Amino acid sequence: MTLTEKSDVELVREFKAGTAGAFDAIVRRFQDRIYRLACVWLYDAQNADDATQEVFLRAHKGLRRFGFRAAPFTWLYRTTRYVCNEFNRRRKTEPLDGEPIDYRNGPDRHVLEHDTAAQVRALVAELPERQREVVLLRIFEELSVADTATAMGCREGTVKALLHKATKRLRLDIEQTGLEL
Amino acid sequence: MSDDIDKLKRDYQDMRAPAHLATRIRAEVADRGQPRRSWLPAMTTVAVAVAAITITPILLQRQSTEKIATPEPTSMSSLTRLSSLKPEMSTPSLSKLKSVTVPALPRKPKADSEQTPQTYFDIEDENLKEKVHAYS
Repeated sequence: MTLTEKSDVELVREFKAGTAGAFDAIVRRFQDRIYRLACVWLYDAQNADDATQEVFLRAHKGLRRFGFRAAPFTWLYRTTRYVCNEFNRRRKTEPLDGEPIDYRNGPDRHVLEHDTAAQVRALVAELPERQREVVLLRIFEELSVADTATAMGCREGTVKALLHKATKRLRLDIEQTGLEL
Repeated sequence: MSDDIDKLKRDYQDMRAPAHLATRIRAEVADRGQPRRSWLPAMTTVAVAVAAITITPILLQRQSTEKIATPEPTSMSSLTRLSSLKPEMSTPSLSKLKSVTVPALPRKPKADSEQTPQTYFDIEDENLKEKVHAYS
């Protein structure tokens, strides 16, 4: 069985065992998902590359001590959230070239104005943080309710309740904005 | 789930990381995997400074002792310099020597020529002579 055919857990086990190419396989498997999350969580989506890189650099250190109490992606998601928050804090303290930051609008959408990602980001950004998180994990990343709850650090019932509110509001937003998805 | 949300999900999942990202991450991981040697120049500077501080006084001390121990080259000019460095002593003049007063020595008692050579002084005999002189 090649590394690409292995499950997430098996892949991390191979990495911990020091198998050559295991970390590369982890990067290839998760980079798109981490990048997408970074695009949504960052105020400045142009930093998504850097944030994704930082997540994997931390993973290279942190996954060696991974205890398999949660799914590897859950661990990566939490790291991504943490890294994105750091990037956003840095952005708050160091505005780029005097560019005004409008926090009321959440992540600055103008960066990827004509991109599909921008449309997704625009809609998701309207949601309150917890609802946004549940939409990203449960709907977009297709995690189970249990994994979503672990990633968010809450109960499964909370996930379900947040999901219900979020989908309701998201549907309303799509109708109101009239976005052609 | 509504079609709208389904479409939104597909659009979200269509987002892809840039092609170069995996290579960049691999390079960065390899770079960070190297043992960090940024402390090396600082450590070297500190070591050199400590060595200089420790050794310099010892070297200076040794140099000064060597200077003292090494005899000066014996040339005529150096000899004259040495003589000029000698502390000046005043040469006593003859007049000063003459004026020096020496206390006079006590007179030497004259030996009695009539007296028989005596090896001792007879006090009784002397007393007797004085008595005779007084009564006479």
